[in-house]
Amino acid sequence: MSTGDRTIAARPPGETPAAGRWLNRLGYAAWPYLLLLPTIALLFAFTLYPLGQGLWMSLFKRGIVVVPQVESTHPVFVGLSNFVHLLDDINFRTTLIKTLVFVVVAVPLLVVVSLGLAVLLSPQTKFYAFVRTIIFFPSMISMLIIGVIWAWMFGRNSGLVNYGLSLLGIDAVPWLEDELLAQIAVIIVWVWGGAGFNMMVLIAGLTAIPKDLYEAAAIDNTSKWRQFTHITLPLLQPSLVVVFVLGIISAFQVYELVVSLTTGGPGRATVYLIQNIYETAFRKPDQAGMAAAQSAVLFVILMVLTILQLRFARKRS
Amino acid sequence: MKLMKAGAIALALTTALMSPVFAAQLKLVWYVDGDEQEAKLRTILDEYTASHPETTFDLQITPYEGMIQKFQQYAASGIMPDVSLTSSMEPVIRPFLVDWAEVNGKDWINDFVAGWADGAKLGDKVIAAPLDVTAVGIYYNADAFAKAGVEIPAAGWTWDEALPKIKEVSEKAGIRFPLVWDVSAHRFLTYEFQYGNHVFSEQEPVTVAMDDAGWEKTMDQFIKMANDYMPPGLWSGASSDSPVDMFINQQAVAYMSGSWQIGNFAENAKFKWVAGPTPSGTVSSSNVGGNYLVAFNTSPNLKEAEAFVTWMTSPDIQAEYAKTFGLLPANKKAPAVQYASEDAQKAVVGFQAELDKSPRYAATDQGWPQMQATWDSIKAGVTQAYAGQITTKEAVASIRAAAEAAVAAGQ
Amino acid sequence: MIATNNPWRYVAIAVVLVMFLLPPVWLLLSSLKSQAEIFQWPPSLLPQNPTVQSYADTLSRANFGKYFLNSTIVSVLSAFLSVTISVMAGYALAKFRFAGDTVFFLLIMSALMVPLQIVLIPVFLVLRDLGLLNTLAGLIIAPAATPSGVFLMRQYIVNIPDSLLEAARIDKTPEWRILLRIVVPLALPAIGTLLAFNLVWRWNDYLWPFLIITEQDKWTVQLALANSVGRFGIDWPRLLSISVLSVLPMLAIFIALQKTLMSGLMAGAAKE
Repeated sequence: MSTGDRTIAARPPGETPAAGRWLNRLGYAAWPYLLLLPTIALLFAFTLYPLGQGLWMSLFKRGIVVVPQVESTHPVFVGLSNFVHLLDDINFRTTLIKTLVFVVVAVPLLVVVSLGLAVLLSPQTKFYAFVRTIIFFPSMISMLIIGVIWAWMFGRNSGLVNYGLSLLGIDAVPWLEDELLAQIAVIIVWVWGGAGFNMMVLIAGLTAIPKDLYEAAAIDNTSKWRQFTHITLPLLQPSLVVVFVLGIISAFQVYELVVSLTTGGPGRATVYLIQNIYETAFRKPDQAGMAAAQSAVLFVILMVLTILQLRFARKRS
Repeated sequence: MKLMKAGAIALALTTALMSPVFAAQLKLVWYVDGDEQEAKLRTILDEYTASHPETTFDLQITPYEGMIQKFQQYAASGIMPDVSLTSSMEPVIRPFLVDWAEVNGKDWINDFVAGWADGAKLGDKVIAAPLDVTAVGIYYNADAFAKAGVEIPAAGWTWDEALPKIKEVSEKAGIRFPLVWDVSAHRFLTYEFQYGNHVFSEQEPVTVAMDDAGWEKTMDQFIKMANDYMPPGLWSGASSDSPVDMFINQQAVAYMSGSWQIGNFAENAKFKWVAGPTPSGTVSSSNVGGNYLVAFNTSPNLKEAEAFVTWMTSPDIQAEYAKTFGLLPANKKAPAVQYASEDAQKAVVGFQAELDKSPRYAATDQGWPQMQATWDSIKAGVTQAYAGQITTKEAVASIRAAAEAAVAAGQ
Repeated sequence: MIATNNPWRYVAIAVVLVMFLLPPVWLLLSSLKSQAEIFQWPPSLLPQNPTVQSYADTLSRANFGKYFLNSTIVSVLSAFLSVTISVMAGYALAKFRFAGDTVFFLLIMSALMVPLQIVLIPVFLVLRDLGLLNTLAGLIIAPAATPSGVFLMRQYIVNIPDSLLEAARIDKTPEWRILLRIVVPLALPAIGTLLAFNLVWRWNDYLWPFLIITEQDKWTVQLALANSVGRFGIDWPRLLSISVLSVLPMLAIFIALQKTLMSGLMAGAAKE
């Protein structure tokens, strides 16, 4: 993680004749903007502008599309009343709380598991490279397929896990059919799908820690655990921040996995924010404004969290 | 006068000869269950092109789940196909649908199966052409019944009579589960129908006609049945069990689904199966369903699109289509269909008879446009009640709320 | 840390391997079974009559090769485009201080927080107005700007010593040459990593193709995969075989690029 050392101020290159210098200076000043142009243009067209439109929608009662001939889709300005309604919307409240719980449990678990794997598998030998390939593999599969695979593993009546348990004489466990277990199952599978990528990021961080620090600690007879907490963790912090930031953002957006693993069930136990937003927008004729308001809440939460994390990371380093 | 007439004829002839044969490529949006269906569909389209060389097709296969989103995209962008298969006419696309009462006359829609035809009407307009009709009903593993020495009464039976027998068969024949049931709002609703409950009034103006106490009692019974006879967890909505695969692989004695499975079983089942009689509650009821074809009035090839849809829903083609896909024809004038196998033939006839016996609401509930905004709440209600997250009272209340909101939005 | 030769370490590795290997292996084994055997209970661990029927069915479909080709074209071109613009943006954010730099950074990061699902219709209208609907170009261009890519490149390029760039500037090297001849070669490991990730992301995209493509000739593998789920049921053998087939190229990329990938990640995310 960077300390933000964008140190070079716009400084004109060496000695040049006056006119050329002026041109150069102009070119140099424009250069970073030119570099940013394609990214910003694409993001503007395909993300930020649609987002702006989406957020604007949250001030209206309207359909997801406005069709002049269909009255229920017509936009009616309602100010902030969609946001007020969200407060009494039981479906939104429960999905928001469920999503928050999911993030609070799944992200730290992801970090711990990834860290454990990183520590376990960091040695640079062929054998470990092979093991890492296998652990990394799920990160290359789409979440939809991961959901399908695990639905087969966790199925109560036909799943491989329960078949294994039955061989040991243990009764079938309703992994996906019980309210609490289903939420746990989604967390497990989500961590399974993301751990490989984050393990790689953390191994990268681990190998960058100077070896002599550990050697010095060993001479001082420092216990392994103290070495871990006093050397590894602090020096790994930049990588841990990357894992945290990206982890939180993707945890808030968990959707495809749930659709193929539990379809939001049992009942609505694993319906998280994105699914609720999507269903509100597309399944109910005149509720697009409510869906937009939900999106706005999600966006604000993510924005605040990210800024806080970046601040925190900068202060610490 | 004579001269003028001759001149007019000559002129008409010349124009007819001079104007090139106008080639139209129709954009056709369709969903299929599997590659086989796609191949069969293409055969029918080729047949049309053979007899109407001016019309060719650009077939766009779309996953069924994505249809609602596609319709929103059409309405938002104004970019629409010429013809689409659909099971529901979403409000946002209704203004863009061809009115068949104008194209084929007011009485044309009366050629079609009453309940499913009702769903195509919007006020005085007819915004869709019924393509096929489906019935909800039960399948039994006849081999298992024979092995257990239990008979399926030809005259039909009630759930109270049938369930213990089905369970007996599963025990005696060594089959894992007595009963599997498609986890769908539509198939659940059939059970409510069988105890006299329905969502909407049978006549216009559409109002909510739910007897809440009756709904709750029936839902309680359903959940008890799901717990006692079906694979554990099936109705939680999260189960990865596939009812159709369980039945076809002989892990369930009976399977509550619908007529669209007939073709599949006729081809793939390795045991003797029979369709129906479907057990009854206080009433015997199936549940009407099916597909429509809609044409979009934005089409540059409107005439060709209308001609194609009219052809697809004409009696002879209806019979052919129904036979090819193992479905019931929507057009009542279709000649009697000879299905591929005797089992399939018996099944279709049986389900058709059950459909004919069903109360009127088995057709109208599905037909009213208000139902489209109500389905989700039915599935959410019953699965949540099954999972113990809410009471059946709350489930029924949420279904009523959704139905009432739909009625209000439709006014 | 735990000693490399500690026996518990190998026990732990074995447990981890089983947990991560079992599900994909089960997928592979199931895909070699017949429809009936897939749903057999108790399940057969190894296919009793291994059959590649579902693979043959999938591959024999005239169009499947076409879907694969489309997916390949889209993911390769989109990945290259994405990496190119990410390097540019990452370099700008890492090595220049200019009016609005923080704003641009936050703007880019905020785009990371917008799931496509919630902006589908506005995005669709933009695609229409740009004439990108039902084109592979749309699939290549629309998802190309990835905030996480920019973030990764920025993190990496920050570590390139400023003195190198300064020296080049004193020699009056044009800015574009500094980027091409100094920054890009030094950032190569990170570029390789990002390229690999982009290939994977674009290969696995479902929502973008669903939004953009209508014509079957332009389908990607993921659309074909989604189409195994019909109105009334799932074509399991087909779903399983396409899943396996769609994963294979990813596996090949990873094995081929593992070295670059590792060093890219290590060098990139590691140093502060």
